[in-house]
Amino acid sequence: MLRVKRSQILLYLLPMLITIAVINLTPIGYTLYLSFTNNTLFNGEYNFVGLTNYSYWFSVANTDLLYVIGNTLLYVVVCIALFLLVGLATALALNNQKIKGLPFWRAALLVPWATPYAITSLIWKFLFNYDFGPINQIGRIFLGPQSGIPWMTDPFWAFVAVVIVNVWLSYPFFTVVILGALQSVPSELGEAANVDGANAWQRFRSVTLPLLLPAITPATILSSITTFQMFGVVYLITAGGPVTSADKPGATSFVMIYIYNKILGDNAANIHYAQIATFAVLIFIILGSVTFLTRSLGDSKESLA
Amino acid sequence: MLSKRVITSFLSLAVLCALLMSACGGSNDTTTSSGPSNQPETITIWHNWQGDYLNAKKAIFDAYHKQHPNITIKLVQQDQLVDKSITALKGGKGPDIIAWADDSLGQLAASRMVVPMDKYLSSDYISSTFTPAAAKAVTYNGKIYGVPETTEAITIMYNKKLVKTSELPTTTDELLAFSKNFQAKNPGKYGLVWDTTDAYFNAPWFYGFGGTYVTEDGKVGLNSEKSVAAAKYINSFRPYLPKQITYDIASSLFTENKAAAIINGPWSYSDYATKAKMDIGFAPLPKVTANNNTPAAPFVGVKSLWMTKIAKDPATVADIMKFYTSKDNQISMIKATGEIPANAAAAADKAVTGNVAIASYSEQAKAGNPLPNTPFMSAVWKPVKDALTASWSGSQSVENAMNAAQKAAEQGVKSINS
Repeated sequence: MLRVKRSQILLYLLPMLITIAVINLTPIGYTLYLSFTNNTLFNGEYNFVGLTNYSYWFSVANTDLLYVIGNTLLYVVVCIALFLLVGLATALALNNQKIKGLPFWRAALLVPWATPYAITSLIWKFLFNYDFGPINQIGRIFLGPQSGIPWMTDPFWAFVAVVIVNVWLSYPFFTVVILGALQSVPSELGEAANVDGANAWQRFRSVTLPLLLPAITPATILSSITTFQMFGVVYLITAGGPVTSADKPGATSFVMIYIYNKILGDNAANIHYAQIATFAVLIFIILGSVTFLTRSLGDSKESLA
Repeated sequence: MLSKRVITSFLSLAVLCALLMSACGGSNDTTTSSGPSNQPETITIWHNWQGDYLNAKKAIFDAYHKQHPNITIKLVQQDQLVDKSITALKGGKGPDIIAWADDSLGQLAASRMVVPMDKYLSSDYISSTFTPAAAKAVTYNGKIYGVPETTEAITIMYNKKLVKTSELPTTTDELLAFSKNFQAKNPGKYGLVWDTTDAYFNAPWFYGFGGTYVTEDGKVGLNSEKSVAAAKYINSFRPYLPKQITYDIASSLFTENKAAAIINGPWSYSDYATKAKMDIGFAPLPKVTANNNTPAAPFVGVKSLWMTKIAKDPATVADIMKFYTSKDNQISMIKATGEIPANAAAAADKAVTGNVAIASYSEQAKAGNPLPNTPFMSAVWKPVKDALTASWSGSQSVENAMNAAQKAAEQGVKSINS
């Protein structure tokens, strides 16, 4: 029998642990450190300033933090709700016995999900153009030449546009996950409920859905986090715009886009690295606690059941 | 047995560490010599030259490489050039030379991303070789940061197939009427197109109406009466231009013969004239009716090459800069690009003065204002752009938009001064 000392295990793990520490923890530690300094592009200093940067984000004059986080949360909620709804609907449809060629549909569904998002985003951006985009062009055939939805220039429609694109990109993932779970639900359970006199809705509500939850819950939590940190798709379509006022962030400036625009967007004058680091730390705290909460809530539920 | 295992594990650990160290450690060789080096080396230039315009510039660097086969010049095109350069340089990477318009020099110099080159380029050399405005543009706080390449200003270019010279407007009121009438006569086409949300492309109106963006000492003038009047004038074009207008859309409308005229600069000329084979005419920007017929005043930018803080071999960099901006090279370049050379001897040459495109651009530049190279400019571009975007889309009134821009720009200026 192979006997290994505990210290030896640690020794073998050490290179990997060091790598993780260097690659993952250093940037986090550096950001944390930065958030307590006065570092900007021009001064290049690292003087300790205490909590000044933190109070900046909570000052009355600055409403960016609440606006950006609120806007992002709204985006997450809307997107996730639609992911689930559309994903569930397509999965239930595909699970029907009468559907033929299931492998084909499953592969077809994965196409939007598997296409590089940079390409799809740019195509959608073109589709949404007010004057020359195909969506509005087609609309004009039916509604007259003066009509058109201001997809990219109106704050509300821009929000709708980035929701549409994100749902189009992500719902197939939910479809596949839910479809997999559906097919593992024994049909006898449904038949038994049928014998007991349950109608279609009751069968779905009380038999199928509870059995789907273990598959849906982790997918939802993971998707929420990635949607919260959504960058590429939205940035490529709206770049955080449309701007409704020069002293406010744009209507689709979600957290990551907001940070990016502050550091790298159009010329941002004297880039205040310390303040932006503080913003990132605050987001990290919020995201971390939400994740922790949902995890512990999910655990307690399972232990109850 | 056990000890052997410990030794092997230590060994593997040591190998890993060594790998890590060698990957992280950089080489820092320092060469101190004047003139170009004899060692093989690569000089990287980050730029945003495009299309045919780029080819003419690349030819000069290729010629340099032929004379000095040991020196390879790598041209890398970057959008958001200044921001990307800052990010890269902060991490000790990036280009040896940045090629961009002089308005960014203040920001880059104040943050020590580009460094003075007085040792290699004397101020005597700069002032005797280049035109006065160009020489001034590469000087910041009394130090020389590189060489000026060309000066440029935007003007009106028109498609001779769609519009006659006599029909072209000469005042702002006529221009508005021209856009309106042209569209009425040619449904689906546009009179004059330009990016109505960009701060650089709309500067002619702001300064023509008597307004300012920011003064040299950092006073923001975006919500002054005159600036607001200019923004209102821009907004009066809303019915006659696409709702969602960008530089690219304006440019493709023009090349697809869907727009009679465009406001654009020398960088686009060869694309229109050579690539799209259009018959291009030039017209100066109109006089501003509301401001006693003062001509609209575009920014006159000086495209420059600066040396960054990571450049290891300033002597070679200086030599490349001198070669690139020499009289002969400039003349052969501007034949293709239609730019106004910064080299004084080249600017006085017949090949330049006799060229219609260059003559038109330099005529327009005479009405313009030099693009300031103070860092304050970097605080103004985005607020102006945001305000013009918000008022063009209709989400804000012009007054509110300019007030918000004033606030945002003042904050930016404050952050620079602090």
